[in-house]
Amino acid sequence: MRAESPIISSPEKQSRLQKFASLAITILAWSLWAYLWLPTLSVISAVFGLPINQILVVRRPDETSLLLIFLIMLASNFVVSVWSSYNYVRFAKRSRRRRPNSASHEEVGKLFGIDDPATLSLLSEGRSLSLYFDDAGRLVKVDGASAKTAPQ
Amino acid sequence: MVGRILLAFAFYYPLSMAWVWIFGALTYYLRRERNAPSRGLPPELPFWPKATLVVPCHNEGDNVRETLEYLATQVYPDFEIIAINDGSRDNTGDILDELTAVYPQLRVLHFPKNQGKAMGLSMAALASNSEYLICIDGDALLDRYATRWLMWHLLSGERVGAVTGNPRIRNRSSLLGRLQVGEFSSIIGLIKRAQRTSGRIFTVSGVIAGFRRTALHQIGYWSKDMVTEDIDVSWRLQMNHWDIRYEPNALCWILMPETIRGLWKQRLRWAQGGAEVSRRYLKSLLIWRRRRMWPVMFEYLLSVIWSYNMLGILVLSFAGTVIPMPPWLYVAGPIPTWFGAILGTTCIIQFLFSILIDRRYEDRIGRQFVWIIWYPLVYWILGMLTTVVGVPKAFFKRTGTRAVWDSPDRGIR
Repeated sequence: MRAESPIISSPEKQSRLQKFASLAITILAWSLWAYLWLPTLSVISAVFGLPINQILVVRRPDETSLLLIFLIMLASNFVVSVWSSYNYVRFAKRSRRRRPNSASHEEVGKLFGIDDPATLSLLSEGRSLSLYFDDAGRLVKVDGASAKTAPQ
Repeated sequence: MVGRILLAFAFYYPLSMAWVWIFGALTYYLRRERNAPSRGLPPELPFWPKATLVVPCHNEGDNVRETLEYLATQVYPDFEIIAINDGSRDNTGDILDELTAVYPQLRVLHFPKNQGKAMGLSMAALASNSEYLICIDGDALLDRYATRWLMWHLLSGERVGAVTGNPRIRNRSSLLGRLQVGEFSSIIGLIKRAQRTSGRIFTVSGVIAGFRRTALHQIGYWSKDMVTEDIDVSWRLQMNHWDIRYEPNALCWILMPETIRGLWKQRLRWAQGGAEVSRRYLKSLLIWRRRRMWPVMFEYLLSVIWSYNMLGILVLSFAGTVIPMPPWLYVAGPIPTWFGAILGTTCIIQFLFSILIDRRYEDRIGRQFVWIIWYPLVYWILGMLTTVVGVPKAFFKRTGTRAVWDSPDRGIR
């Protein structure tokens, strides 16, 4: 089941110049991509003795480099497979460490410097609260009457 | 000789990484995704604990109504929503208070001054009545089944500390918007799958992630001084042996920059964030008990080295056109002619593979790929430039400087 996508597509909000530039860049990029294939075409044309060979930049493929590329791809796959299998076998099926007890509201409050049960209760129940901090970022006051925004 | 080494690394690194991502994502797909239930049929949960949906907002007056409308329709029986109005200078606070009358699950925390996203999330954890927090951004739309998918993971393993969802780009009016659709699908989606396969994830997506509060409590919640609080919390959770999972069915529709300036600012922040986290935790990772994080760190360090390597190549290439260079420093150009065909093929295979996987989640995703043929190049160039600038920024940043909100570019509306 695919998502009902709330996509925003308003190409009409772009200027003609922007649209033209996008199209031109994309065509240029595909041309560059096609250009990357010239050496391959050269080799093919050389094999079949086609005249196209004359107009292309021909560079004989370096067998050592190609072999190296193949080995790198193989090694990448091997390393990923070994490491992921190791992780899967050793860690996926069982927890090697126990989960600590759930942090209570009081413990969480204590970590943020709030010991007062009334403040903790206000924080967990208030619908609209204002929180004030000192310059070091410590929570210093919780107010049930909303202050909303203040100009900075 | 030096030139050859630089060129070889410039070429072999992206090629190797592309194949690592493809193989890793393929393993994930075969192992966890191919036979998984579809998005609209999430698995039954063993029990249904309350979930807290957290929405930090800073100047979100234009977006927050829609965001809350989506949250209120989550297919989950018991949840509260905590929205944080973090020093907004627009009407976000008024709208949120008004909406408390519309949505009985909604509670609002107002910060009179901008305290930053990390503080907002931490205060929501403090005010929460639940062990489980589902955090999204104030301009994001959470798919109605997402909470259930994320909760399924959080309830299925005692050591699952967090679950990251699947961000999907909403704004696709411009070329930059469409490029990011492809990027999130063919690069970020593959990386997340590959990293999940390898056991550790570089970062949850800050825009959509579920957390277990006890895990956050153990690590002291979000750091207030990191520009990317999501990368930081992901590393600290995993360093403390909490698992992070990836759930592609937990969709979240997001707005992304559609200007070069906006994109640059966002990516520079990401690059700086990665460097800040590495700088802070590199030493503490170097113990055997934290070995599962080594591939994440290794991959990150390689990407930084690659960025500076590319910078070296560009400088040497340019210098070679102006002044005669000694042979050992001569660099012919950034893309070796013959190898270009292999890079081009790899790029197309990566695109096709990600289209095949992503068809499950979105209709007509393939048509976006026509536009993104130049994105691999842009991705690597943007990654290189932001890393080259972001790493020194991270290293020369004064320790303890608070990270606060800066409203991002949200594209063409």
